[in-house]
Amino acid sequence: MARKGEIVIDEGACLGCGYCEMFCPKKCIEISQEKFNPLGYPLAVFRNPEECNACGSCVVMCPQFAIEAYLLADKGKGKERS
Amino acid sequence: MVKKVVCGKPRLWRYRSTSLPFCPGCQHGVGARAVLETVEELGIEGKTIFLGGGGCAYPLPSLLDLDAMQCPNGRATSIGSAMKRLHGGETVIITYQDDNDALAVGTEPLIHAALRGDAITVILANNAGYGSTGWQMASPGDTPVPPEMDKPNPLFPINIMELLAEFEGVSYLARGTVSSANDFEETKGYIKTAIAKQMAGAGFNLVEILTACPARWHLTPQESLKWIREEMVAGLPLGEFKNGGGN
Amino acid sequence: MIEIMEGNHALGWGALEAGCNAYCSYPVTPQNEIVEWFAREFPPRGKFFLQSTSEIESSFLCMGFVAGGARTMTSTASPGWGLYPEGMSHIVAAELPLVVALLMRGGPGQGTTRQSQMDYTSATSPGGQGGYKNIVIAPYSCQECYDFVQLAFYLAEKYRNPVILLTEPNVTRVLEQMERRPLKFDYPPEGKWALGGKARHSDGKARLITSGYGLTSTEEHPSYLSYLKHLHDKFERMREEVRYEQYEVEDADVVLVAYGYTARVSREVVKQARAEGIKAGLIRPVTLWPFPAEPISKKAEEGAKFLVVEDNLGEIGGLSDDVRLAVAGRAEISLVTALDRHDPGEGGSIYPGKVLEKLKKIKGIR
Repeated sequence: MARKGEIVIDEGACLGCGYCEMFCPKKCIEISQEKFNPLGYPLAVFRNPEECNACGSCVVMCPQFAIEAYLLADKGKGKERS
Repeated sequence: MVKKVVCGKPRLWRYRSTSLPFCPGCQHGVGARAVLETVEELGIEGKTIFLGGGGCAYPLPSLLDLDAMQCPNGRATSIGSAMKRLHGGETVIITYQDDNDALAVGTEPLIHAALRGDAITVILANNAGYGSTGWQMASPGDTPVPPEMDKPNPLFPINIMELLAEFEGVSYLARGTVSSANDFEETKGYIKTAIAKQMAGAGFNLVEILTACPARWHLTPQESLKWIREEMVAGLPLGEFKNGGGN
Repeated sequence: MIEIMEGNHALGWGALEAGCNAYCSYPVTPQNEIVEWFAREFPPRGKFFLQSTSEIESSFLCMGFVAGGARTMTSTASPGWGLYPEGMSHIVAAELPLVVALLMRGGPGQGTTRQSQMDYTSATSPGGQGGYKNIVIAPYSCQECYDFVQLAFYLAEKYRNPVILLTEPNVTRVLEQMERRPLKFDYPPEGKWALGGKARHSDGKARLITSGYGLTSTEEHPSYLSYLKHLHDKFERMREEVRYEQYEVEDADVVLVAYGYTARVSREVVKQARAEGIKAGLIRPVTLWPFPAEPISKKAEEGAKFLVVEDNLGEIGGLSDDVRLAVAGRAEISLVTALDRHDPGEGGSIYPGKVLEKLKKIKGIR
C-alpha cells in the first residue's frame, strides 16, 4: 500500500525561504503569494497532500524547524524516515 | 488510521514554540539539527557538552537540552580542550563555530588543540562572512565571495583541511554541505564518524559544513545553495580528508 | 615545621593544600618558577597541568577547566597580564571562580625582567570590558604567599569571581622561612554550575554557562537588569573582605602606606625612624581591592601626613590614587617612586635609605 504522509507547517516560525518547496520530490509544498505570517514573510503552504509520502526532506531542510511530518498508516504498520 | 510523527523539531531542541533567531534561508539551524540528531541517535545526550562560538550562532547553546556554554569568539576550542582533559572519556565535547570564529581569532586554539590531539569534535559552520555585525567580508584568505561583491584584494580560500591533515594528533577531517536532504544525510554521517573517533579516544576531529548565508551574500536562498554547490566547493572541496591517525 | 622555601613554590604548595586540581599558564619571566613547580608536582598527583600557547589561551583554557568543575589556578607576569583582560571579563560575567597569581615586572611594554609595582591599577581597576572588580590580595612574604593562596581559592568560590594575588619577584624569588600550615575555610556547597553532561547532574537537567546574560535570558537571570543588580550586590558584598595591617600607627604623625616588598622596606624604615624619635607608622593594605580606606581616612582626620612608597611612576595611577581618595584632601601626601630606585638599571629597587631621607624631609628634619 502506498505510504501516505502529511505535514504541518508552523506559521509563526516559517520565514518563507523556500527550501521546502525546492526539495520536496513530489512538489507538495509551495511558497504562497497570498498567505503571510504575522512578521510579513510569505508562508509555505501544503498544496498536494495526496502526493506526500512523509519522506521528511522538507522537515530536515527547514532552517526554522517549522515543519512536522506525519505518517498515516493502518495501526501496526509504518516506517521511520528513510 | 493512525497518525505517527515521522520527524519534526529535533528532540534536543529546548524551545518548542519560538522561531529560531536566524535570517530566512540561514542554515545554522540545519547544521544544528545535524549535530543534535547525531547526538540523539548515538544515545550520548547525557554526556555531551555543546560549546557554541560567537557570531550569529551565539544563541544556540541556550536553546538546547544539553549541558552547554556560550563561549567568546574563537575560544570554544580552548574551553573544549580544557574540559576534555578534565573529564576525559566521560564526556563528549562538541563545538559549533563559524568561519570568523575558528578561522580568524580562533586559529590559535584550533591549531593547538589539533597539535595536542585533544579529542574534541569541532563543527565548523563555514558561511563565508560576518552576519550579525552587518555583513562584512570574512578575513582575507577565507572563503570565496559572491561575484557581485567588490574584491579589493585577492582572496584565496583557506582550506583548513590541508593545514590540519598533517598533524599526527588529528584523527578525522571532513567537509560537507547541507544543500539538499542527501547532502544533509552525508554530512550527518561525517559527524557521526567524527564523534565515534572522539569516543574511541582517537584525537582531534573536525567536520566543516558549508552553510548558506543568503542575507549577507545578497542571493536568494535557492541561489545561495546553488552558489555553494558550484562556486564554494571549487575552493573548498567536499569529502573526507583524513580518516585515521590520532592517538 | 619550619622550612626554607621561595614564594613561587609556596604559592604551589598552598594551592595544592587548597584542593587546586587544574593549572594552566604560559611561561613569562619572572613567573617561570611557578610554571615549573606545577609541571613537576601536579601530574604525578593526578592533577591537571597544561602549558598554553599564549596568555589569551591561558585565560580561556582556565575558563574551560573551571566550567568543567575544576578548582583552577593560573599565573602570569606583567607583559602576559596585558593579554588576560578579555578572558577575565568573560570569567567574571559567567560568574566563575579562578585564582590568578600576577608577578609584577618593570613596564610598560616589554619593560624589564625584574621587579616593579606597576600593575596596581590594572589589577584593581581591571581593563576587561564592562567594569567589574576582582578581590586583589598582596602577599609580602613567603608565608603570606602560602596562606593567601589558600584564602584566594576560598574567596574565589565564595563569590564566584576571580581573585588576584599581586606580588613581585622580590617577594617570591627570595628564600625565606615558612611553615606549611593548612588553613580551613568554610567553602560553599559544591557549585551547581559545572558542566559534565546532563546525566551527571543529580537532577538530570541540562545546564548553561554563559558570559552573555545581556543577550540570553535564563531562569536565574531573566533580564539584563536583574543580572546587573545581582552583580552589583555581589561586588558590594565583596567589600567585606577588606584586610590590612597597621604597624606603629596609633600615635604616628607620619604614616607610610605600602604593600608587597616596599611594605617590608617601609617596616624597616619605621623602625629606624622610631629609633631616631620620629613618630612614623605603616598602614599596609593586604587587600588592594577592597581598599582599606577607613584606617587611612582616620589618620587623615587626625592630621597625619602620608608617604606612599610604591615602585611605580607615582602620580600616574597606582596606590597613591586610592590613598588620595581616602584622604579626601585633608592631608599632605608625598611619594617615593621608581624614580627613587637605588640603581638606574632594571635591577633597581627602593631601599630604606631613600625612604627615610624622604620621611625626614616631610618632617622638616635635616
